[in-house]
Amino acid sequence: MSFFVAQLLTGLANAAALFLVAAGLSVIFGVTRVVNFAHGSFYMLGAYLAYSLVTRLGTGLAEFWLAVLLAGLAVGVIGMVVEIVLLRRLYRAPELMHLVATFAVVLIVQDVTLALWGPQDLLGPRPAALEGGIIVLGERVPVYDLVLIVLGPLVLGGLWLLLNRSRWGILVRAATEDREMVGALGIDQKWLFTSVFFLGAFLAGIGGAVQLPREPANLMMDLNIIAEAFVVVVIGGMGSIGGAYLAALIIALLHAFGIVILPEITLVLVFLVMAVVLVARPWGLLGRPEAITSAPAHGVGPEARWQGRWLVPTFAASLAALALLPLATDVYGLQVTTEVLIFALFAVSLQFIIGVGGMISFGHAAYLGLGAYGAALLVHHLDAPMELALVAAPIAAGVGALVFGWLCVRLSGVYLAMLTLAFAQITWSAAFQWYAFTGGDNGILGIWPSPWAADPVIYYYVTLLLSSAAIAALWRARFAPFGYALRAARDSELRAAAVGIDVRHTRWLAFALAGTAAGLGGGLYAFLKGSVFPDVLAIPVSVDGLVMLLLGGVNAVLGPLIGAAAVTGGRIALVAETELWRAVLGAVIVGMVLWFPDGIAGTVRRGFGRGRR
Amino acid sequence: MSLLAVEGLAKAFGGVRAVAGIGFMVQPGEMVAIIGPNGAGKTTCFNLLGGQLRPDAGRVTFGGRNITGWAPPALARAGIGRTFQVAQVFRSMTARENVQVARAACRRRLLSLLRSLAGTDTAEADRLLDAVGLAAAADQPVTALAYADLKRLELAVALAGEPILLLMDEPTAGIAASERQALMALVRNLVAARGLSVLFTEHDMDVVFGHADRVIVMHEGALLADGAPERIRTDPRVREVYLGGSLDDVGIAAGGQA
Amino acid sequence: MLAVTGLQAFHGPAQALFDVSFDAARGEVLALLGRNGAGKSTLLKSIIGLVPAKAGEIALDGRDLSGLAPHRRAAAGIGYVPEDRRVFKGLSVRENLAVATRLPRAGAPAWDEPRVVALFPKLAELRDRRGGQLSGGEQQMLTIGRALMGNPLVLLLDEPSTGLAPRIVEGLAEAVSAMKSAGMTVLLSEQNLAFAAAVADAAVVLETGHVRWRGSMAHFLKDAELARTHLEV
Repeated sequence: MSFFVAQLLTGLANAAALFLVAAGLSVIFGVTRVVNFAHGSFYMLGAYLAYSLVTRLGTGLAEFWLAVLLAGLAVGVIGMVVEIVLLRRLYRAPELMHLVATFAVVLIVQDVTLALWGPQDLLGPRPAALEGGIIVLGERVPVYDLVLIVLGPLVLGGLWLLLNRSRWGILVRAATEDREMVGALGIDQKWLFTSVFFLGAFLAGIGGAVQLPREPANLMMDLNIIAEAFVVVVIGGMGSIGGAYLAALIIALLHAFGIVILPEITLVLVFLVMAVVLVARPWGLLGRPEAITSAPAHGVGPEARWQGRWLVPTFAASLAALALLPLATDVYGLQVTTEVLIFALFAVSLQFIIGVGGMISFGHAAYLGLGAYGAALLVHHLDAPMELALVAAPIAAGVGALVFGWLCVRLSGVYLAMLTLAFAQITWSAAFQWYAFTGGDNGILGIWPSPWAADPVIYYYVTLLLSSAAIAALWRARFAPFGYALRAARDSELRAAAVGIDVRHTRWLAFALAGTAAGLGGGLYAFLKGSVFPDVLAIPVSVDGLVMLLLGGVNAVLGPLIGAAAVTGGRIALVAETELWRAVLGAVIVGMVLWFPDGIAGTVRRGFGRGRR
Repeated sequence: MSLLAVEGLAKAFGGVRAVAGIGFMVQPGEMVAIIGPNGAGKTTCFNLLGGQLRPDAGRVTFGGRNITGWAPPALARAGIGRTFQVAQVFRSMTARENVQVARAACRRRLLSLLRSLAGTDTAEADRLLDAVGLAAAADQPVTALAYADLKRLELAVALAGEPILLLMDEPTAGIAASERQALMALVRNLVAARGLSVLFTEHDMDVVFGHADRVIVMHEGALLADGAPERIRTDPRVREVYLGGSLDDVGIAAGGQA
Repeated sequence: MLAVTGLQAFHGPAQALFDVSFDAARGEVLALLGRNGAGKSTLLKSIIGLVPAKAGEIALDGRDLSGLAPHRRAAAGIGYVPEDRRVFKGLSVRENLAVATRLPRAGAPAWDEPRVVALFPKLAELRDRRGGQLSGGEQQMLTIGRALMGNPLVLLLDEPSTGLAPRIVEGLAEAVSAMKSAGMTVLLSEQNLAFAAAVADAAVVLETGHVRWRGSMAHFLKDAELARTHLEV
């Protein structure tokens, strides 16, 4: 009993920061329809700023709370700046652009934080008055935990008052329901959006600041919390503050109790809770159904016709050139090209979901990773040969995609994006935490190709053969009736269903197909590197895939190949050149989103189109 | 036996009864128009028949089969084609591909991953495009077509599913008056040539009275009148719901004001 | 007060308005008549700016509104009551009114919550009820009241009588007459001819996006053939 109470209290205390972040995310989305990926960064900045303030101001009770407040305000201002400089120009852009642009902010904030505070974890001093613990039913509970337990409902109440008792709050609630009508009644939405961003960022900053005495500020806070916050918002219902609180409690308690049974089980539990909620109430526990139906697929124009005619010759010529490459380059160059080929397959498979299918996946790394881990675990635990492992990799990823896809295709737009990201994060956590099986962050080493393929040149040819065969197969599917059916569902779901296309099934199958292809890439990747680490499943890899698509053009058939070469090559060059490669990458993404939303291929094609007309 | 039989069909949205127990029939080879003032429940009724909404009560029988609450793909396979108020076509494809993909859906070839769509049912697709007068536009991306042509294309796409019954939601909405009669004459001919039945809603009274064999009038979710066009035209109750009172009443009201 | 010249607008890919021109004088109630699908709603939406105009000019009290965002047009003095009402369902009646609140402008009747409640006494007892819990007629009163709170120069009413019981429609007619006597210019889209006849001074008849007839309401009513051609089945 006493143990139960202790875990309950820990869970409740954990819920506080999660709720603050999720509530901010939810308020921002409700009004602006932007899913702010950088919200985790606001949280992280809150923690770091609070650290600096507390160490300067001292650990008196008043000083501590002043530091928390100042950190929150500072983060709020940063949020406003992000809104004014970046997002204000993107409100009419497709959701994919919002996600990618705010992720660019994540990258930039990571490097800025690293530069300002250094790589080490920073544990903030706890205010002296809140040190120690009290005994509750025989268990010692930290006083600070009790403070956090009270803070959650306090903030919930404060937000309720703000939203229900102020004119600003009334406008926010009205805009969450019907933005257009609020405009038609004479409200300038610009300042409303900016102020909402301030509030959301302020809440995230406070969340990070109050977490400081419990958890050291570190550079992984941003992505860890954002994935959880997405889960909370999906379960609680987008735009519902009460839902965010409820879902934060559920998730935090699942963690608190799961961790003592078996840490891995929490991930399964979280997944199951999400599955149950999404099947029963796709719009979340306290959300409104209409909120999720307003999400259209990624806007697309006519498919480029010439690519159909020139695709085969271009592809054949590229293959011939790549086949001759070993004559022209050294081992290092070959290994880089091998990696490019793998990511080309990854990007083409992602395009199958996003470009052809119109489903924004933010967690495609999951399938690359499932393939890589599928192959590596087989080799590590069962001594399987490379050939068998390369068969198992796509199967493992395909099965994973079938399971996750079954839930994902029930949603669309940003909900789908958040869900895919949450699933990817679940697989990442599994790989990261399950030491006994996956080796955790030590990874799995010694995954080498079979002796006949050990030579980098041979392995290059193996990769070239398998990747290009899989890419060709995906292209074939794209221009087969199946691919057209998928595109039909993207173009007009109404019309597709009315001619007899089962939209959900078609999407599910596409998801599985793309996952399988990515899994093959993952298997190849494991043997190229000789090892597998949880990084291969992490959010940045998923985002790399998106950047490849954006660079190459979301719908251009050859786009992913161009994008994969540019991103993989560019990254390798950047990492060699500068410590701040994340910030550079982030800046490149921002520039791309703002000025070249059609990507390299799209921009070139548009130029062509204009020339011809 | 009637092709389509609707009995006691009802749907409410949060307490508002949009369709309140409506019943009617469509005979084989018949063109039937549903009309009614705004808010009469025509669109809801149509979406119930097309599977976009699930009815709260009632029964829909099609060719002797109970199809109540079926989803759109199942209805399509059963032989019900549909066009929408705002033409729904596949915007990233050419006119021919639009028809081809519908044809592949009808023939249950969608799971085929290996053959190319481009070479599938080409001749048939071109015949259908020819039938709606779009033969010349077969290779055009649909974004290059005029809106009236999109309406025609949508018709070809619906026909590709070999329907026995066509549900057309405002077939002439959004196109110029001159083109309306031509489009409806085309529909008329297709009905005759293929033995189709058509159920359509329409605002343009010239279209309704020029082309419908029978007219159903809805008002406040219920059936107000059902009969031959000339009888509907002279039905005083129908006039009343369209004007919010008989012309005499209005005259009196206006007199009272003045 | 409101002058529309050569307006063209599209509903998705389909052209909904063709070269529409008319004007409404200060304090006049102008009825837009026509069957459903004639383009009445699109016309009102393009005046408030929710549907972009492809060509043409909209002038309010001599000031050109073309190209302005909806919130600027509302601020300039256009009050909009949409056909589907669009009350904020999760907000109370009082909050719904508060969203649109704007200081009165010179030369126009000044509206505030007490005056709106005086116009629609029913709203007094509903003040704390959520918008989603109101009946259709109550929602209609609320949306009109909400638009009045912005102290507009011109009020756009899109099919206010749709779906309402005759008794409620009578009440609405009285309210529109009261607004008119307070000096409000009203542009009223209506299918219910009896309602339009009771309140309007002049009429514009739309058919498939074209203006077919313009003139005084009395004239329109005298000519039974006109109504038969343009409104009846």
